[in-house]
Amino acid sequence: MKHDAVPDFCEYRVGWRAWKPMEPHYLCAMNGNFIWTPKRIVQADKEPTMTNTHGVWAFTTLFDLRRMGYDTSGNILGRVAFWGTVVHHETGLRAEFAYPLELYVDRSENKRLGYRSSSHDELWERALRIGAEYNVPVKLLVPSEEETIALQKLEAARIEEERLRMLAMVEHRKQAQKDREAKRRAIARAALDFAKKHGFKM
Amino acid sequence: MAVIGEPQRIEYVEPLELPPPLRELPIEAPVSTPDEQEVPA
Repeated sequence: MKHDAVPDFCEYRVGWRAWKPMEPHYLCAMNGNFIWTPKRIVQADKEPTMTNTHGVWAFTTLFDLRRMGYDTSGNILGRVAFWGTVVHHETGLRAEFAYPLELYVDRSENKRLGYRSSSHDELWERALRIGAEYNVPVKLLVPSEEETIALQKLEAARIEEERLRMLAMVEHRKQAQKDREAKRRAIARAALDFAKKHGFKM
Repeated sequence: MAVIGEPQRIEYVEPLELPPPLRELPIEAPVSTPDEQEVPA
């Protein structure tokens, strides 16, 4: 479907995605159900609309991608061109057509799993092979000082969120235990009252 | 679609030319994706 309005910019839109590298040299969607074929336009199974969930999707900014935890070690990140029908969301977009523009291997120190070294070098080698296959440049993603500070804050917020979640779980378990004990005591009291009332000996 | 928030607006984008990686390649039929539901990170 072509919308009636004349497009405001005759240029594709750009978003950020993450993929799992797949042997020998493919980009695989994060949910593992689709390999982006090299040198072929990726088309959504159905045209995206404001009300459906179809479309090839991405985050608007790298920061949003990181904020949602898609920068996990082992992933390849990338800037992607989108065109056709494009639905813009609060922090991302869904589009009818897509193709990667650039691939990135993240050198951020702020990895959730906390490792790099040899696995990082291996990922870089794989990314280079994948980039050649898709005809796209591969770059190292080195966050600026400002981004590093923002990422550290983000990681601290993640840790705090996890701590609060654990605390809430412990509190919930304690409360559930208390409720079980109270219920047990109430049943015992009721049984005792019943026994007294009917002259049973306990 | 909680991962990228709520939909805000829709547009049709018709670029004048294909993205740089595809420009010098022979054009083949697009490859269709399955519906990309949001996925856990």
